[in-house]
Formats: sequence, structure tokens, C-alpha cells
Amino acid sequence: MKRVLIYILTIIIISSCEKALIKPDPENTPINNFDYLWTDLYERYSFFEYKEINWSEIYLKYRPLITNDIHDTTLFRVMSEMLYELKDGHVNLSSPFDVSRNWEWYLGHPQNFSWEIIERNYLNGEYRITGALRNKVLDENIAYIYYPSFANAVNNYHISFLFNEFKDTEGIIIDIRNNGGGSLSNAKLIASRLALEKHTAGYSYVKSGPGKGDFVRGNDFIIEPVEDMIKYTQPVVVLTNRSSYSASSFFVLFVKDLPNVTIIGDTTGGGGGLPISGELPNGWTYRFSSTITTDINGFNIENGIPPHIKRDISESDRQSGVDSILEEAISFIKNKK
Amino acid sequence: MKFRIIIILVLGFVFSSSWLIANGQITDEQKSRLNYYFETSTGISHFYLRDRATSPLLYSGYNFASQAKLSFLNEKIRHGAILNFVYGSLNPNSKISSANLENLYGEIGFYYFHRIRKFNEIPLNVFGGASINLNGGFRDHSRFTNNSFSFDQANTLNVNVLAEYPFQVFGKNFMVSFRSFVPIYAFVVRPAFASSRPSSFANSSGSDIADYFNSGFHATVNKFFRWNNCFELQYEIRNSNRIKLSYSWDYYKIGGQKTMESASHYLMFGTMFSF
Repeated sequence: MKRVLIYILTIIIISSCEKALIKPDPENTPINNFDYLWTDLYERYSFFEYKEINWSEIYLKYRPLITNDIHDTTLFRVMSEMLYELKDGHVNLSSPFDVSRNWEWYLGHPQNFSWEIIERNYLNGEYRITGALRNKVLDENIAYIYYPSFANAVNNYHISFLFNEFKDTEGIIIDIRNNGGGSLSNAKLIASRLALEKHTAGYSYVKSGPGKGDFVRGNDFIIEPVEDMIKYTQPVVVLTNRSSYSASSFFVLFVKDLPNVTIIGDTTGGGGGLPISGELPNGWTYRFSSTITTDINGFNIENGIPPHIKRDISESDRQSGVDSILEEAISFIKNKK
Repeated sequence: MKFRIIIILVLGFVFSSSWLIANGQITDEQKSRLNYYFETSTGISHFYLRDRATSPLLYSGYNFASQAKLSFLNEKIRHGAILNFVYGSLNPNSKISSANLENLYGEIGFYYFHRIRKFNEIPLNVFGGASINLNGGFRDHSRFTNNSFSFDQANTLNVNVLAEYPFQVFGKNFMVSFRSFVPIYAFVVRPAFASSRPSSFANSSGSDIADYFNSGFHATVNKFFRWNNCFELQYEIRNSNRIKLSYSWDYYKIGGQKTMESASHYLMFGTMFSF
């Protein structure tokens, strides 16, 4: 009896002892924060091999700059410079005072877009705003749709409405220049409304372990036309520039092989890796790419998808208020007739 | 896949057998003396959680907790079903005020105990038994993007011990009980390495059930450990109905490349209706 009571008392005493089982938070030191960030990317970032980046060499380059007595701003600067080496617009470090980024995917190239020129000289300040889609039938009987961000929702009602409004036009121009991305579901929805038959647009690969080659095949990107909804069968031109990033690149991936779709403009900015987030011991957050996306021929879309027709806006055209990429699209549709 | 089906069938056999054995061992006379209770409790839970797949920080907070229980008991047998629910917010122990985790935890369990020792010197009864628990924790990080949703789901077979000590104070009937269990087998499903979805859902076979089983892993104490203790003080009011105050402590840890561990204290007040 005494023994039973001792057992019970022992269990009572040592229960509720999560402090003995759960370790405290890792020490919030600059070195710990740096090592944690480097290690997480080493294990889960998806583009080291594709971009030929030796992450261990990067560690040897930046780790000597970190000591435990540096200020937060110095820590942030060094980690930002380290992340900059990845040349990835989906890699950011967020602190309470700044957000690191690499925007070379568009800053190093011509802008090739001005909404001011479009709104003043082509839309004349008059256009419809259908959900997130600014739209109008241009003088040439060609419909123009501008989609500023895939983060803004579109739905089948919007698309059906516009297809019905544009049913007598000679073509549709979908302008996704300067569209920095957003939700893939919006990209897939529009693509499914343009597709006339089911097709596989691309493949994804997901990081499955800490090793360099640890990837598993993800779900394929399959585009299926939506049944029982109005379709548009005339030519469609999609306008892109280097600022068409992330979900915009995926949208181009979904539609570039459709028989009635042509891509005109500049190579998209890329951003073919799905970003995931993490958190440092000091509470700063970061995000980075964890997947790889290719088209059905194995072409990796991380550095962008080239257009079918390459066109830039010259400086003289820009000064004259002419959007030569849009003009190219209008001419293309007219000649297709 | 076949191995997993066998495991599910074995667990189902264990549960149904325990139920049948329990009822088979009960004579008609004993059945007429079986007490059935429907119990409900609500209270608070102080929840601690660290999921290394998303953050190295320990998140904690006070959450709402509730429990419903259907129990059948007589002199030698205890068996029944439990449903637990916890919901609330968790924050890290840091100065980042915007860091927030929305936490949802649910559990369903089936248990069977048989008395193994009755002490003559004092009215202490000790029971041994088994239980099957299915639990799931679901979390949403407010500051994350595509992987803001994280989860863990475990199905366990546990060994249990229960001690009950009835006593009287001023002629009123009380009972204090202590129950503890640890799992001996678990089937665990967690997100894939760099995703918020289970691994097989990333390349779906078309069947959610098949993907679920293909995403999980079998675990013993080296990969999944859990320890649950519960103290209860019951007071009999009228017609065998009771009110109860309970304190529970639960700790579990899922091993692997990115460990997940959680500890929680529950303080709950409830009622037991006899029927």
C-alpha cells in the first residue's frame, strides 16, 4: 500500500513538468540568428543547383562579418547582402525596420510599361472596372483588359461578363505588365476560361529533404476548360514585361501553348518557386522559394518565360506617348483576321 | 499501403474487442447496476507549442477548452468515449507583438479499463486499461505566406492506469481520481518537409484516403512520445449526478527532421449527468 502511494505521489510530483521536457528558446544572438537563417535555406531553398550557387562559400564569405556584439541594423544588412546573392525576388527578410529584397529581375531591364500612357492615350480615361479587371473595347474593335495584380480576385462571373461584352470583337489583349503576382488560383481561373481543351501546362517539384537533390514531383499544372460557360475563340494576346513576376509567369506558363494565345513584349520576370516563410530566434521573418516549376519540355521558369514576339518600347515612343508593345498586339490581331 | 490497412484493422479489432469483452464480462445483474454518465466540461488551457517546421520559438497562451464524455462504469469496469476541443491564440515569448498563431486542437478517444487492484485498508481502486486516441492540432501563422497553415495529426494506442479514491466530508460523497496514459504505438501525419500539405498530397493519387495513409509514418516512443495525466475531484449532488473539477497536463513530441512538441495545462469545471 505504501509503495502504491509512493508511486502515485511520484507521478503527481513529476507531472506538469514541461519545463524539464521543452527546451527554452534558442539564444537570441546575432550568430544564432545568422546560422539559423543560413541553415534553413541550405536545407529548403530549391534553386542552388539551377543558379549554380555554392551556399557553403556564401557562408564563409558572410559569417566572419557577424559577431555577437553587432547592432540589429548591421545584422540585417549582412543577412540581406547574403540573401541578395540568391538573385531571387521571392527571397525577403522582414525586420521591424526594413524588408530586404532583390528586384534586379526588373530593375536591370527596360520598364516597357506606363499605365499613364495607356490610361490617357488609349483608354482616354474611360474604361470599365470589372472586379480587378480594367477593360474597354478599343477603336480598332479589339478588347483591352489590364490586370494589375493576381492578388486581386477574379471569378467566373467577371470573365463570362467580359466574354459576352467582347463576343463581337476581333481579339482580346490581356495586359499583365507590371503585375507582380499574387494568387495562382486567379491565374488558373483565367487560363481555364481561355483553354478549349484539357492540357498539362507544366510540372512542379517540391523540396522533400535537406539534401541538394531531395525533391519529389508535385502536382502537375493541368488546365481544364470550364464546361457550360461562354468561351472566347478569337485571337488572344498577352502582354508581358520584366515586372510580370511570380503568378504572372505562371499565367504565361498556363496559356503560352494554347493555339489562340500569343505572348508579346519582354521576357517575364520569373519567380517560378513557391515561397514559404520562416521565423528567426529574434522574431524576424523571412521567405524563400521551396519549389521548382518547369514547362512540359523541362524549361525552368525561374528566370522568366520569353515571349513569342519580343518587343520593347523605345525611348522615343515612350516620350511620344506611344505604347509600341500594345501597338504590336493590335497589329498582330488585325493581321490575324 | 496493405500494411497500413492491416494496422487500421488491428486497431479496429482491438477497440471493438474491448467493447465486446467489456459487455460480455458484464452479467445481466451487473448491467442493471451500470452507471452511465454524460459529462461536459469547460475551462481554460495554458498551451505551449514549438513546431520547428515553422519556427524555433516557443509559442504559448491561454486558450478556451471544452470536453464532452460518455462513460459507462460499474464496480470493475470503466469504458467510454471522450471528445476534447481547444481554441485560441498563441504568442512567442518575445517582443514581436505582431507574431500570432491561431491554434485549434481536437481529440477523440475511446477507453476501456478493468479493475486490477482493490485495497482493503483504504477505499482505493486501481484500474488498468487501453485507449485509442485520434488527435489533431491545426495552426495558422499570421505573418507567414503560403505555409501559414501547419498541422499535426496522430492516432495512438495507449496503455492507461486509473486510480480512484472515494471519500466523505461532512457526510457528502466525493471522489478524487488520477488517470495517466502513454502511447505504445502511433500513426502520425505531418506536413511535408517544405510544404504545409502532407507529402503524398503534393502529388495526389486522386484518393484523399490513400494520400493520407501514404503521407504518415508509424511511430513508437522514439519518434512519438506522449504523456497525459488527469486529476479529477468529483462531488455527488443528487440522483447520482455529479459536478467535477479537473486538472490535466498533456505533453507530446513528434520526432523527425523538424520536431514538434506541445505541452498544455487544463483547468476545467464540469457536470456528470447519470442516466
